[in-house]
Amino acid sequence: MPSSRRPERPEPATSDPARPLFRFALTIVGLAAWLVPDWHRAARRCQWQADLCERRRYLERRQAFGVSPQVDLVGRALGVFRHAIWLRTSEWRLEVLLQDVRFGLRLLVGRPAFTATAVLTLGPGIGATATIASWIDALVLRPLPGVMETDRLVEVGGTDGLRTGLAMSYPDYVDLRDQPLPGLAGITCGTFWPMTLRVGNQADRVWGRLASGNYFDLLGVRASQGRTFRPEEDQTPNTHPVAVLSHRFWQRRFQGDPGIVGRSVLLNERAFTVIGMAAEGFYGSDVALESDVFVPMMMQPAVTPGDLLQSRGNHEFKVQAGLAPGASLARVQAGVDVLARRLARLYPETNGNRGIAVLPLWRSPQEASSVMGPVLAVLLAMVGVVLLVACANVASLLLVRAAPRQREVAVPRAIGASRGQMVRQFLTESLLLALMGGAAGLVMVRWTSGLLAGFLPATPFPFFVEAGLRPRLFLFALAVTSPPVSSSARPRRCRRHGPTSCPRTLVTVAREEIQARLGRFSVETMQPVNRALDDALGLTRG
Amino acid sequence: MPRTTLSLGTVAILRAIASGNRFGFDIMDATGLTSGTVYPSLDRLESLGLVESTWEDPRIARRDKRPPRRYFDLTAQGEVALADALERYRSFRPVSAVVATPGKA
Repeated sequence: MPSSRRPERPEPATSDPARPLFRFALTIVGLAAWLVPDWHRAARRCQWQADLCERRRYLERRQAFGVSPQVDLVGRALGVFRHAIWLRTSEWRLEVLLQDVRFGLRLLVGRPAFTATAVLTLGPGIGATATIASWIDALVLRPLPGVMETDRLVEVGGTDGLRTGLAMSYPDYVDLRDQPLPGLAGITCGTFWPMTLRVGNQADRVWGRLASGNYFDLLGVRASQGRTFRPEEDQTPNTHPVAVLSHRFWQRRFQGDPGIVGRSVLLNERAFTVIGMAAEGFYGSDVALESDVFVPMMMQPAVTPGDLLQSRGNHEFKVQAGLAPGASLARVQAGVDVLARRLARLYPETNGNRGIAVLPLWRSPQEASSVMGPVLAVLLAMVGVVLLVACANVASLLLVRAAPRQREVAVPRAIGASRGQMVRQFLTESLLLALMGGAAGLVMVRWTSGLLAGFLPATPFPFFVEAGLRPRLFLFALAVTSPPVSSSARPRRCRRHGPTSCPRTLVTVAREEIQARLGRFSVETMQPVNRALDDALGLTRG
Repeated sequence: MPRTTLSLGTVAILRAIASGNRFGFDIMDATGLTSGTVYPSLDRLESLGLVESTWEDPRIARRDKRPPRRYFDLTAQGEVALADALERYRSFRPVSAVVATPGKA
């Protein structure tokens, strides 16, 4: 008579010294059973062994239980490993994980005060950290938006024994350009200069960039309208008055009018023809500075004072170069050292004490990232401490909340839920909390990122940082929040003591848990940290 | 009942159970499938509600000195699903026939 109840305790399979292969098959299913989650391990072992025994009885009745049928049984026994692995992995199937997420969301929604407290604690911490991270991303990791392969772009600057990364003269640049240097794919130079742009009766102060003819090609920047410079436009001084506008300036000043291409504008009272607009998202090749207009280098005498193109002693230009694929800085440096020594011999008055150094963008003293990078790193460390305090607070909240949940854990454990299932459920809840806190923090970034720019000193330079929400920032927020919050959420107490010890008083369990998990760190270490932060923020009373 | 597309192997297992093969090795013999395929499929079918399993009375198993067996039976849903699947598979025609009469494909 079949019964719907599971067997309370499976009978041990009959041992039979005369049937070594059959015993081997029983051993195999016994081993496979260890892969099965413990809450239904016994039932599965019983099912497999019963099938083997039934087949043996059937074959023995027909007097056909020879070697060949036993080998077949061994094959079938080996097949149950696949079943065991399927049972083990089925705990991590997508629908099961979604079930955990739904259950976790129900729990968080069911405790709105706790959820709001945790999210409002985590949100500002994540928001502050993500704000600084967004600036580091914009200034150091993605310093020149719109430029292809920024990591291969280097700055070639002068050195004078004390300083490095100095501006260079145009004749020095020409020598560098015309000398075949190993490891360099191309070299460009330019300078950033204020200009007056006049159209009709309206004159505007703009920031222009004098750029060599290969400027856009080297940076991998195309024109969104019209074209960029042609090589012949950078050959002879004062002969090709053409200009390329930045996309943002075109939108701001000319409201995106495509008819501006081919029209004439006055730059420092000299007529220039607008030949095109640079690609959207390109702001120039100066970190954190936005260029409005690009003019060929050969038009320098028309837009800036003096003739800088002939003077070797006038160090006015920033030189940038693209590394060839596979080239190293050291290899390029060796090549420019040879050239620098030759220039020092040839022009001792202007180049006698000058060398040439090749620097990555982030180390160049001419770039804002070299100044702002260390400041931002210190800021990141500070807000990281704030985030750590927030995470510690939320971890404490979770631990306190874990105490009354002991019964909540004990009941599923008693009816067969595995440890893995409980740990996965707790981790899912913590991750959901981290995600909600991260989302709150990232909402903050939209405003705080702009607010940070307000703390910069007033400057006539067109300072521009494209900091904001980016996909990698989401990953950063998740990465910095999840581990500390999640690691505090494991039902270790219940695991250690088992279900019987779970109904304990909230206060006892919470106190023990906090002392055990955070202990000296929580009580002794965090208090000075909190006090120091209070002092720093001016919150200390009296 | 959620409409689930059953694979050929799964239909074979359902049909074997409907034919009176009620436990693991009998189903393997009837379908020609391996134990690594049949056991997970049975669990999946049970979670879909197409089959149900019952354990043999432990007293009988103890008397026979062997572990109790796990029997599988079709549910009402399983019978409907099997009938649907068989009808669908029977409606299949050889590709050559479909090519010969494209208008009736």
